[in-house]
Amino acid sequence: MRKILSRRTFLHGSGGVLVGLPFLEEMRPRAAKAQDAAPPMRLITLFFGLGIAREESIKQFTGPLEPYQPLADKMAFFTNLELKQSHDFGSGEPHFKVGDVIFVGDPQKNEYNASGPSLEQLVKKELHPNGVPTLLGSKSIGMWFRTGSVSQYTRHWNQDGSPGERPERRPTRIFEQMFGGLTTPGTPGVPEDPAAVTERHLKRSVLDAVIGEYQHYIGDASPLGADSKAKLSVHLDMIRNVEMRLAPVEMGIDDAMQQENCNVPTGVTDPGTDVPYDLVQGGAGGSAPIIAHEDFAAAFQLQGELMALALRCDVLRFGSMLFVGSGGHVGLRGTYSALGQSVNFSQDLPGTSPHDAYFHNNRWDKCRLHAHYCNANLAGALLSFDDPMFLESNGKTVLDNTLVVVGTDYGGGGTSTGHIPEGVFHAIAGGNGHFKPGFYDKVYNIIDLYETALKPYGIATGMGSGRHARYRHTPLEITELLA
Amino acid sequence: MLAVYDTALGEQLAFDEAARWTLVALLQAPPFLFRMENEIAGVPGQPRELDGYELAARLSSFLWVSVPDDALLAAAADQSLLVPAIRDQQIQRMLADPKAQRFTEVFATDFSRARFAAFEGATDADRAALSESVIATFQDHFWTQHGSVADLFLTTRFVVNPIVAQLLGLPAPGAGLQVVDVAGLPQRVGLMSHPGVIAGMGDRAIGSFVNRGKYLMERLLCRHPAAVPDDVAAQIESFNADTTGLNEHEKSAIRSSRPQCWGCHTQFEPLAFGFSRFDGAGRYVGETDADGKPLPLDGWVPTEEAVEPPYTDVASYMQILATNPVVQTCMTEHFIAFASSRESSELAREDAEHVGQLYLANGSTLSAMVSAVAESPLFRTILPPSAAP
Repeated sequence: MRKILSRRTFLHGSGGVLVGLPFLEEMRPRAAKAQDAAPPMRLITLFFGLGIAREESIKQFTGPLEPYQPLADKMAFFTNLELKQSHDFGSGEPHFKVGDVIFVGDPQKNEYNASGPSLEQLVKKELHPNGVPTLLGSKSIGMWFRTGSVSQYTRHWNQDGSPGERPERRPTRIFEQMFGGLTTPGTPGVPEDPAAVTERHLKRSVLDAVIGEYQHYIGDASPLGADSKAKLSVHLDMIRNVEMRLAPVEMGIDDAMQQENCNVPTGVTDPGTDVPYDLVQGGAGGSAPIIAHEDFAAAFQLQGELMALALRCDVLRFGSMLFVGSGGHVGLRGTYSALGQSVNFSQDLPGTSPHDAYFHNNRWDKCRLHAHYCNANLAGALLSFDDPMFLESNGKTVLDNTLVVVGTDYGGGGTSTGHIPEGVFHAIAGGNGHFKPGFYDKVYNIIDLYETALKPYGIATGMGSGRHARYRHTPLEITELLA
Repeated sequence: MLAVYDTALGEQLAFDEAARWTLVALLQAPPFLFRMENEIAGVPGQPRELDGYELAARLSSFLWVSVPDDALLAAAADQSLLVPAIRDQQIQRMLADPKAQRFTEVFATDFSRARFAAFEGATDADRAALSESVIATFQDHFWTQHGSVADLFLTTRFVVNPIVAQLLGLPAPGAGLQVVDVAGLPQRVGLMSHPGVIAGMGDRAIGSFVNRGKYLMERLLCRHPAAVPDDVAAQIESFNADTTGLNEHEKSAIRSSRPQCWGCHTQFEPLAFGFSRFDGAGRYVGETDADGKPLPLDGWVPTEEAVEPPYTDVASYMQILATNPVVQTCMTEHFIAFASSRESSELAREDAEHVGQLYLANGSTLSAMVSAVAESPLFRTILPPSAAP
């Protein structure tokens, strides 16, 4: 395996600061035995755009899925999923229609709205109906460069199916959002700056006033109807994230800290000199930035490490990561080697996106390594979650205590029609021992998989009901997957 | 918000700093960020007339994409805005303000979807140029030519930039936007034949009749295709495999021979026939496809009337769109939906028909449309939810 990711780039010798952060009460050692049967307290989704042709994914670790080999005993791989419902309903071009079905299940409500919440939001609401006791309710991060449709880059869908947080790309900004607002007012021996105290009081006052207004408008005395209240509730959830960050002490979420696992560095640096982190491009096809593949990978690698750190520190328990949006639209340059082959992205997959090579020109001889590259990056993030240096109090890694659902949009193309909603790849990782690792090539719908993945939580999702029931292949769950 | 001000004073801040913090809170308050109306006042299940302020907010949001000015607020305060004659005076005043061009710009952007063009090789510059040209054509039609909504389907006066000129097959008109007459070009009549509108259908090359038909059904007839029945969905895959290599006309002919397909497809596919000589970028490709097979243009507009009007080419197609009451009612629905920020599907067709009649009676101009929409019960009222059973 070609190791393209140099891990723990910033965590070793960082000279960072220790911050007061919440303690995962679910992981107290005395509960370790019962813990084995508990559902994972965290859920993260990982998405990569463009997919893998099934003839490549069934090669298992001798094909583009090779980077997952170190995690073989912690992952279940699905190589023959269907998502035909995305083509039968909805509007927009194929990647628009698929983008809001991945991690949701049922077809989109309309071009701008999914049918309901994404998996991590569904579980978040189920486990914490009154709000998550962490600094951030959830976080979406990733590397993507196309805003043709909100469904191309959004993987966080709210309870009502409206798009949630747009994935943040710039690692320094992610760091700031995850860790930068943390302060330790009243730290023994360190007198706080009076101006900072005043500002904190005023911010608190503003927040109280604004939250009070929202609570009025979503409360019983509100002049609004149910639909409007639901929209305001989504906004209030985001404001509560700010509240948690502003005053963790007052919110009672700095219970304890796991110092050895939560060593926050003083800062990070954005990798690469030509990565257009702030670029926004509209439209569905056409031009996209062309980036050195090493820089692109380094940026995602850092994102993965930040997500892993945030999970270890319990800054958040729910989130999503995106490695290229649905439909692709990131051009790469440089030579990449794996599987005993090499590909020069600029020459072998010319243009500003490998999209056409995947879906219209049947160039899987070259796309194979591009898919390998994508999965190597996702595997890198998972390995950060699985770092044995940072075992949690039940003796397991962060990945073990987290349910990670890996997904992509298509199972390849090969003809001028392209975009085949079958033979689609997904995987689940971690899951606290609830799932049997291995490869599954039986035909299932993604709804079957999502329902089964949520089985440990006892959630009745409502996916695949009514007119969508015909897409399901299993009546209840994929029994062979459950441990 | 006063609590913020008091907190600031309590922190010994000066008046201007206290005011600044209060402003910080105000700018984040829901009434500032959302246009909210009292949705539950009145009798449950019975439409309630908006009060002056609510009406002023809807009007300014509709026509200016902004907040009411002093004159509109004054008419709201003394409730004179509720008087139809006064309301219309305010509407005419607002339309005379340059800010009203925001309304048509946003409307044109939503209607055309040129920014979603996805034809082969499309660049961001292409999408921006297509969108710019559609909006400019729209603005020119309404604000310079004072054309009617119906005539939007018949105009041959396009405002183009070099990229759109090239797609039309015209010589480059020079930098910037130029007015051109497309009457001499094959099959170019009306805004629907503008490359930006055709490219906005999102096709890669020659468009699928199914995708284009469904798009046009929603745009022109304000209807949405029904869900694919289970037994038909099971056949789609084999149909696609069996028809590989056929052109859209040939595929459509097969579907039309299968009642289980054509029962629904007849409601939208015929809308796409007239566009079959335009590729995904809105370029005219000629009378035959790449294999030399003919690309006939004749079809009909599935209005669900006793006699659904047939067309033989783009000109006769657009003439139907400009005059047919079903299509004109649908256009009115688009304006009502835009004005009231509601989805078109929520609107009662009979109200749109009434507004459409009012619009025709008042001269079919943009001004007449706006006045008619503002008189619509759907615009002037709000429906409190029915009481829970």
